[in-house]
Amino acid sequence: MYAYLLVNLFSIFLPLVLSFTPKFNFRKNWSVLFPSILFTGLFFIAWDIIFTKLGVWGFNSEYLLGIDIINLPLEEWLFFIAIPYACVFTYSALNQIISRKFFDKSIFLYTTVLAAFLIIMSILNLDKLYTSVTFLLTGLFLLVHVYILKSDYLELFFRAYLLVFLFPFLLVNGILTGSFIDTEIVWYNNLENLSIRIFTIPVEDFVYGLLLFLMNVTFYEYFLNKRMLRKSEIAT
Amino acid sequence: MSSVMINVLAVAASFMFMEFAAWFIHKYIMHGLLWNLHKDHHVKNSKSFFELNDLFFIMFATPSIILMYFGYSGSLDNPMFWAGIGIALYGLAYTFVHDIYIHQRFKFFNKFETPYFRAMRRAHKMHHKHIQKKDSESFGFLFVPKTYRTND
Repeated sequence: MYAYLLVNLFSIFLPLVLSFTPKFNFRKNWSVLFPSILFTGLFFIAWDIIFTKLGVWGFNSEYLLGIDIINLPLEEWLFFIAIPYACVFTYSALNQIISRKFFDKSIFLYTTVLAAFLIIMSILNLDKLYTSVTFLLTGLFLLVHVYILKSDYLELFFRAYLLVFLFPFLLVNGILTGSFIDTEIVWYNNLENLSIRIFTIPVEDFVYGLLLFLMNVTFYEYFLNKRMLRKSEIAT
Repeated sequence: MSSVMINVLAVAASFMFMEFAAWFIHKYIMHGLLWNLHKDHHVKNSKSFFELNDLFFIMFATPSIILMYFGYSGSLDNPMFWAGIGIALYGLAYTFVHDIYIHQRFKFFNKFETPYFRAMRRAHKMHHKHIQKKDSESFGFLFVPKTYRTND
């Protein structure tokens, strides 16, 4: 009955401890991080409430404390704090460990191809809610990054997503979808997804994770930049 | 969508994905964690025909073989099989263009010239100008950024 809570605690434990080490000293960015988690969280929680109501997915009470806020278990709310914290910490730490290699514009081409693929898949699967909504939102968000924000950190984001994020993701989402334990903590209605599972994880989760991670990084970079500008204004 | 269309898309998508994967793995893994295997492609040991770097051929072939093996079950009508073919085709293009045309490990196509191939060769030479793990440029391959295209 503590399983989902433990998954959250497990996810945030190492990033939180490392945040206080002099090497990363991530604590100094909390004032930038927490608004990012809040704004992204509001969006994802609203989406989560609707999808839970529609039965796209749901939660197994066997693994929960039993405290619900609106129609989501407390652990699901905590998920949108613990996971983004771990994600943005990973992103920031990786940028510290591996120096910023010079910016390569080809990432914009690759991202456009990925976005086009996601949007086409979304249109071909309009009858499946998890697939269509996730792929469409992610595809559009990627296009915003390439053509409107022209984000110079997009490459750094993909680096963190592919080199680090995917490994704990497989573990955490594996457990949530029933790997290593008797039944799943979060169940998915297969009528609303492509029924393609990587181990036990629906393939849409990889895209959902990308959107959650990227949206947090987007706000984080935005607020970080704003703080830097404010500081340089004071200095001059 | 007809199954032929889906299979054609699977080949095209996996081929395009490999261009991204080649760029990403080259930039962040070969010039990162596995630099030791890639180093002798930049600093040549002239005695041997093979390079330690050739081990990457095996690594890139593995997903292709797995997809084709598990995608084939008596019939070819499975996009998984065709995704494996797409990766294999990318590997073939890579061998012809990178190892034969650019690095001339076999002396074929050495007279061949078009603006696109010239730009691609120039981009790759720019990458090889640097012999260090860090601070190189132009990690991509078939997709050549505008910077390397000239009108001459």
